[in-house]
Amino acid sequence: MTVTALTADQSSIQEYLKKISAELKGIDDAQKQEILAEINSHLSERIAELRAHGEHHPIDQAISSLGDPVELASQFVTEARTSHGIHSYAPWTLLRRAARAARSGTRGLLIFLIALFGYGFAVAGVIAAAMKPFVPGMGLWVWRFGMVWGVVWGVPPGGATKHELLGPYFIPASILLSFVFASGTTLLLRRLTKNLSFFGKWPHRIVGQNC
Amino acid sequence: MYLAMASNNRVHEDRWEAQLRKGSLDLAILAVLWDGRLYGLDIIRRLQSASLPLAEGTLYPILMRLKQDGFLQSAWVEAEAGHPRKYYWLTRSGRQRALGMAQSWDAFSESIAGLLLGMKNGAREQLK
Repeated sequence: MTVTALTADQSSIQEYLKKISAELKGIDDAQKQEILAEINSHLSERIAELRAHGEHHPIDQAISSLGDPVELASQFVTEARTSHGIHSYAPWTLLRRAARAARSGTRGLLIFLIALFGYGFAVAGVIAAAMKPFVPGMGLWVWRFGMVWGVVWGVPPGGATKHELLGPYFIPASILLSFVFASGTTLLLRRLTKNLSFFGKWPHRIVGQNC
Repeated sequence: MYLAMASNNRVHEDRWEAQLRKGSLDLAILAVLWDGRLYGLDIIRRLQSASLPLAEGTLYPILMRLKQDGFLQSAWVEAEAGHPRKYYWLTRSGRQRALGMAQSWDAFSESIAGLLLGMKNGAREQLK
């Protein structure tokens, strides 16, 4: 192979890689370099292979087999986003995944209920802490009404015999409890939704693993 | 009119097949990697030889996702060809995932096979 041919190979490949690189939006630089290096390696290998088979336009053929650079880049971006969904710690993303799982069967529904209650308690804790300065009756109460007794995080029922447990520690305790619920639910959901069934329960949806 | 309907059916068939292939690709890739380390082009060849032709550009984004999900591990290896190749292999979690997917696949294809058996028998009866 001549030096001119090598240069032509490189310039076509570089141009193709440049187009891909420009469309890899939202992917970090290290990942981007890794993708481009792999595509470059693939093209070099294919060109050498096609050349060995006596093809007349090995570069064009190798590039066209990989497809349109914009389309290829968008596939990388889509897959990276899908994967981000699995690795995400964002409650909203996890809640959405749990909502999707709820449609797949009993296990999915259970996961969604865990998500709903877990994040629900976390939000309620923050609201209770925020309301305490304006509603002094807010607290952790043990109450008794005749033979009936109970514990309430909030305002106890009127007319009951009651005793408040936390006093001035109600606000920090509420915030701490919210944090425990939010982080516990997040970790649990990440674990539970990671290995959801490939096809889910009937009705089957033929989608990839990250359904 | 007939031609338009036939062409429409063909489009639906193609779309369905494409969806079916797309949905099975993760499992096919994990299965191909079950026996050892392979690089991209090698994976494409193995899939082709198993009558699962794959658009070359489709493979790499999936490999990236499977790696990010912790199912694959990879390393660059200097090859005799003169340029490095990126080899992939299954992680422990990838093996578990492949086995889980294979079980789901078996259960799914068994259900469909049961339905198809009834459909084929019915079609045979109609032809008689």
